[in-house]
Amino acid sequence: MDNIPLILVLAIASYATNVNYKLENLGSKTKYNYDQEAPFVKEKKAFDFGPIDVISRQWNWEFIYPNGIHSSELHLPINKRTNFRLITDDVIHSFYIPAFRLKQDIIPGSVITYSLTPTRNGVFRLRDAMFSGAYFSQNQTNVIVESEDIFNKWINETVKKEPQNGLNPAGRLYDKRLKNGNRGWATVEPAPAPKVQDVGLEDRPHDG
Amino acid sequence: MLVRGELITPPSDLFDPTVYNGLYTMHGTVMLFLFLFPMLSGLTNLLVPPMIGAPDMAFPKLNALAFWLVPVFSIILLLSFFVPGGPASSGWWSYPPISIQNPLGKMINGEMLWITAISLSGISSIMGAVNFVTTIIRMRAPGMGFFKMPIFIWTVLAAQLLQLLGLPALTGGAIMLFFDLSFGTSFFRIEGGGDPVLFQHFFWFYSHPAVYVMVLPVFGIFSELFPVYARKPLFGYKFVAVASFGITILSLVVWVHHMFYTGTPMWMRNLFMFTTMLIAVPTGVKVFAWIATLWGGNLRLSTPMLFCLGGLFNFIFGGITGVMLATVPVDIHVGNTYFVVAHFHYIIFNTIAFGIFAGIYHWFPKFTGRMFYEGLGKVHFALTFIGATLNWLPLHWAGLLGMPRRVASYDPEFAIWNVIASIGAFILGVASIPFILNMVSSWVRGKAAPPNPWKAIGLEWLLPSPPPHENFEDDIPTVLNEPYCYGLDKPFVQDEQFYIDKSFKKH
Ligand code: HEM
Ligand SMILES: [Cu+2]
Repeated sequence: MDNIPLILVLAIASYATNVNYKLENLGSKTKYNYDQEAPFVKEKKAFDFGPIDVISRQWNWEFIYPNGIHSSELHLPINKRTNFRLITDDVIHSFYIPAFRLKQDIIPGSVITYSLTPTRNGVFRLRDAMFSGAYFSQNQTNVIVESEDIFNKWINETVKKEPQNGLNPAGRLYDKRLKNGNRGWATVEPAPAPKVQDVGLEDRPHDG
Repeated sequence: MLVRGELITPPSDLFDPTVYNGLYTMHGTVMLFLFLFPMLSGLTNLLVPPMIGAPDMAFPKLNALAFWLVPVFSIILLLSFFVPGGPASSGWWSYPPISIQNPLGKMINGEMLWITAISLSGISSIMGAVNFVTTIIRMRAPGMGFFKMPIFIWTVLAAQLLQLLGLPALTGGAIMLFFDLSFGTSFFRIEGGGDPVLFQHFFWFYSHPAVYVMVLPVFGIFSELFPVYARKPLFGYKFVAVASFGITILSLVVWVHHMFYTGTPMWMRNLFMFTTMLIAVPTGVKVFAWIATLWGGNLRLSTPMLFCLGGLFNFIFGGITGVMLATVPVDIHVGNTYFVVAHFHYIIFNTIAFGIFAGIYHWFPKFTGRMFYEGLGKVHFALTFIGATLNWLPLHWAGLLGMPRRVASYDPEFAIWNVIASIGAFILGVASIPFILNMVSSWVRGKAAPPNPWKAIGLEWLLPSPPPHENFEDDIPTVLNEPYCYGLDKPFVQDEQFYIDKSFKKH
């Protein structure tokens, strides 16, 4: 009788270990010197696309594609295993896409490689899940999963555009706070908006 | 209440998000370090000497020092509301780098006062732990071998040993954080080559066991009360006793389950998933023992019993969500969301606070010499159970849908769960009214309590209510059996009738 919980939890844990090996999202974690650029790390596995640099800040997101596009939203081709380099400019953030059931913290002073394969078309929220200060709840953007054709078209059109200020809701709220007399408790200043070719759409309707 | 007031509507409209962040940080800290921990050590302090037949704690002076540190660090923590920049606002985890950003650059800031208060609280707890462990090991009544001790004493011993083993890690981590914050050292600062994740190891090495430090005595309360109100011996006494130490040992090797998504390598995640799962075994032993004790018992559904039954029900639920969180692929999704908030409130409030309420009602007549009003107690229980369920059950869904914790505002799709939760929080607020009313008025003019109103077995019930200053003084009963022989023909102490008669005499 007292063995029931033991058998049950061992079965769950073994099954979950299997799932972990199947997913294998987390790649390597490489420390680098704070004032230098994040290094490129050679991955053992092959990927269909990438790496996309995911840059997290207090409080906005920026995505840099292999061909040099900067974007405020994350566009992904469907059914392709895509590789990421997760980087933060300041504190710990977390790369969390609830619809994908995946999250990975982004650690200052390290570059973490990560990979996943989106399997459904749609617009999904990317939410910072590791508390990152005053405007933490604003630190969100959209992930857009699209067919390979549409994705390639997006790449080819966006690369021609001029960079401009991307999504930065925290900056807007902070300006409002300053205008209202800077009341409230102390906070660091939000990072400036990233310079991006695709500025995205803040209130894009999302599927999950 | 304010926290839930803000979260009743999606945008952050009640106050600035910085204020929300400060408030939720202080909410967590105050509840844990200024409320639950002191409450439990108070209860333990009150119960341990009479339950083992000791006149007092082993080191009364150390005890007083530990006690008086509580108001000292409480004041330091509360003062932090008034320093420029406001109180600490990086959550009760206080993870660097966010906790050492110090936006105003002042030497005295909320975070610095927070760390000071937490370190003092740690020192107070270490002193308390030394005292409890010594008292229990050295000062038991004649005949009270380890396997004749009440389970509550077993759980206190297991919990306080855990404090002694775990607290130095937290206090050490806090001191390093203090130096990083105030003197620019680089234990966790990346600019100087430090590692912010290292702090997480220090923090969770203690803070995971900390939850067991709180829940173990509540397991003790369940184990004391179920036999009394079911009129049956505790099922599997020895297993329940030893399982407490199984929990102590295992809970020292599971802390990485709070770090499954921080970049922890695969093998380590799998390893800590298995160790975490193993905790379900000693815990399961206890749950089975309680259910077997209740099975076919002659249940008396008085207020303390209702709180115990409610607490046990909620604990089973919280244990199941705990196993879900321990499962790495599940935690990767729901970790750091409202699912975790719901899980630990099911443990911390719906189990631990329920157990504390049960204990307060059960021992109230013993220590005040007055009976409480049963009717008000039942109202208190009903409101608390309904409020707590409405407050925390819906938040599981918010978490499963992907609502991160610690947000001051959220997307409209999470609104319904949050509205229900805010209503539950309001009911919980109302529930405290009959409780306070009951305690105050019955203490002042309740019916006088006999020495043993519940017909319970235990040394404390052989004392007058309230017990005299030095408990049994120099006439301590000799213990013959463990204190759970309800319905068996086994006396608890030698010359039982003599002590019962004596307990009725006025002193
Ligand atoms: C026995 C009493 C228990 C208590 C007092 C308790 C308490 C807590 C608390 C306070 C947290 C949240 C920490 C935080 O994120 O701030 C937590 C999270 C967690 N609990 Fe429990 N828990 C208990 C039982 C369990 C059990 C039985 C398991 C698993 C077998 C479990 C597994 C977890 C896991 C994995 C997390 C981490 C979730 C995350 O942050 O991602 N807990 N628990
Ligand atoms: Cu834990």
